[in-house]
Amino acid sequence: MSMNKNAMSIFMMAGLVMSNAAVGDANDNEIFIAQTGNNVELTIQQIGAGNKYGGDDFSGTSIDMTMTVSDSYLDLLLDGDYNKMFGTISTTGSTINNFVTGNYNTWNQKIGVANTADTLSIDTAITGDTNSIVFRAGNADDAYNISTPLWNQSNAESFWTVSGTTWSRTASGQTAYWGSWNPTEGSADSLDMDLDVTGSDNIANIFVNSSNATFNWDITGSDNWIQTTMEDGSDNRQTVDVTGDYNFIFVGQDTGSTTGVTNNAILDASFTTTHSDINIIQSDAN
Amino acid sequence: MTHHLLPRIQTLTLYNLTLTSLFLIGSAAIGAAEPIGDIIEQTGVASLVRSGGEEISVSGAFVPGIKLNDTAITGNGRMLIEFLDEEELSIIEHTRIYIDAAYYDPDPSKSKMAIRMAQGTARFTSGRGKRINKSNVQLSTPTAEIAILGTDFTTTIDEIGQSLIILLPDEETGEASGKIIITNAGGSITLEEAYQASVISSYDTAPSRPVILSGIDINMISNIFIVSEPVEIKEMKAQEGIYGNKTSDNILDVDFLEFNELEKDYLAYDELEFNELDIDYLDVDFLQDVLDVVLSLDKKTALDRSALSSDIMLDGTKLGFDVDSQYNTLLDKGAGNVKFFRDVDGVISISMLLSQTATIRTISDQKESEIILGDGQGIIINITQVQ
Repeated sequence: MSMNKNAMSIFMMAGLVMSNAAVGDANDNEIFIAQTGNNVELTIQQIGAGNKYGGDDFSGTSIDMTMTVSDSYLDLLLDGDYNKMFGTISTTGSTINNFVTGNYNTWNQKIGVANTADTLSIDTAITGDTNSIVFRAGNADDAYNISTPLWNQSNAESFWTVSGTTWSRTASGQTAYWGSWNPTEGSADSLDMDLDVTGSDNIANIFVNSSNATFNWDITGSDNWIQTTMEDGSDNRQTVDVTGDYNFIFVGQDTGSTTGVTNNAILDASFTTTHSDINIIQSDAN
Repeated sequence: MTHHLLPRIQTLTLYNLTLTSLFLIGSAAIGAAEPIGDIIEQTGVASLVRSGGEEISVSGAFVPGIKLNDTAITGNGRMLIEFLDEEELSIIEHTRIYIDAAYYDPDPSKSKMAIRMAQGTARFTSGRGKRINKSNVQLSTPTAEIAILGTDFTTTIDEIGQSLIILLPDEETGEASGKIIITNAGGSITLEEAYQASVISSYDTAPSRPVILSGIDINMISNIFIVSEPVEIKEMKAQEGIYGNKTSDNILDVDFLEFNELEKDYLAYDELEFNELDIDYLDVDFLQDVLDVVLSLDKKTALDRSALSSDIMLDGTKLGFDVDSQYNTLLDKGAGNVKFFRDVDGVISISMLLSQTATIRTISDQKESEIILGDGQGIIINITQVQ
């Protein structure tokens, strides 16, 4: 694997920030990344607890790291607990591998926001418990950031209803839960994404705004809250494998960007579970 | 192609003449702009176009009354209209109907109704009331006029006006619901037996000889004929040379799938041998029925669905393809799992262990179903599909 000047600069900058942070707390490496370029080959591995990737020194409210690269290869690895990653990556034609091993990690990654992020291959693996994941590909709407499971097996009787671009579910005596399609920002067409979560009590929200995207995700564990939406395009495909109990699963697929054209969403799911609340919306209404 | 073009022009010309005459009849009968009927069921995309050109969307929130000279149009939706004399007009997807006249006089012999079936599939059930003589109910397609005598029938009309008309049985007796006389410039025939059908290819071509469709029910008529013709109709058309050009884009001519329902030996069919290779991806009801056309005939099917095999406790669908739920259910005893596959308004494939219990509830634009595996208590899967 060759390394060009861009890749080298990343390592130099990361190393500098890491060394500064290490003075205060050996477990709190802080990596500030702002990178522009093509054909970047970048591997960052953080071992230990409390490591952070972001766009500043995390002294206040952290901001996203920014990467504008294309045709690049990125390996981002967090190994430990309480790690955080906040990243905006604008890229096309790249391969991104995310690996998180540990507990209580926060992973918030945006790809293709306000830019295209087409023809990407993304592999993400989370091994641990109580991790929080928000992953957006071609979708920047923070309103999708859903943190609290509002529904469980005991009140899973109601269908979701779809009206225009809004979907909702209510039950007697319960707070209404709703969301909406919002295919307005960016794109990540022909995305090929894999997500494996092994652990319990994880929260994952994955939003893909693209056409012809393929998203395979496997959940092994219990008490997980998983929400995925794929929208604005045609022939989006999700392959789902859930093994574990007491999981909340929401799969939304909206393929209606072309009026009068039916673009079927495809869901291939395998469930080995009990006491789980599984919800699927497929819409071609827009 | 040339020999197809000429009949098409003739058909359209004659059709326009027919429409003009019907319009005159309707104009004479126009009274106050009072509703002449109600939309009593509706789903999906449907609208009315008033005589002045105003288009009114029909929705659950707003259901307008039917007025004289309305055009009822469905996109991906359906409507059930009930007229004042309890005539019912059931319209499925992508259908257009003109309501030209509906005049109710205290003297039933002076009352009149005129409806044009322009495109798509509709089922007309004549009224049980006494406010209009059946002989004064005038129905037409682009290629024929239909006189009725206490009758329940369907019409299916393709893009160039060719019509398939089927006389339906009385739902209580199973006998013919009455008699219909189909007439055009080429001649006239009478349908008087249940499931007797005729194809009318153009206004100046006589209606085909009647054939009786066997092994079918109203459910099939409402849903399948749009996709595939009954074998009897194919044979009759071949014998009479109604369609010689197989490259025609006529929907009645398209064999999207072999209509083999009538040829199956269901007694010899082992449901447990159904596997993924057996899934007929075209054998789905793209036009699911929410107008409850089916429900009265569907009770027996529902009763037969439980306890299909000692390997699986399943209710709400059956192994293999189930017409009502539109799911293909595959049992893999070797792997110890069961798979539910549905390809209608999106593709859903759900696999789970045979030892699991689950309730799979599916609601689409037109239909709701519930599949229960085991006691149904283990997991709940809610599927909502919107087109």
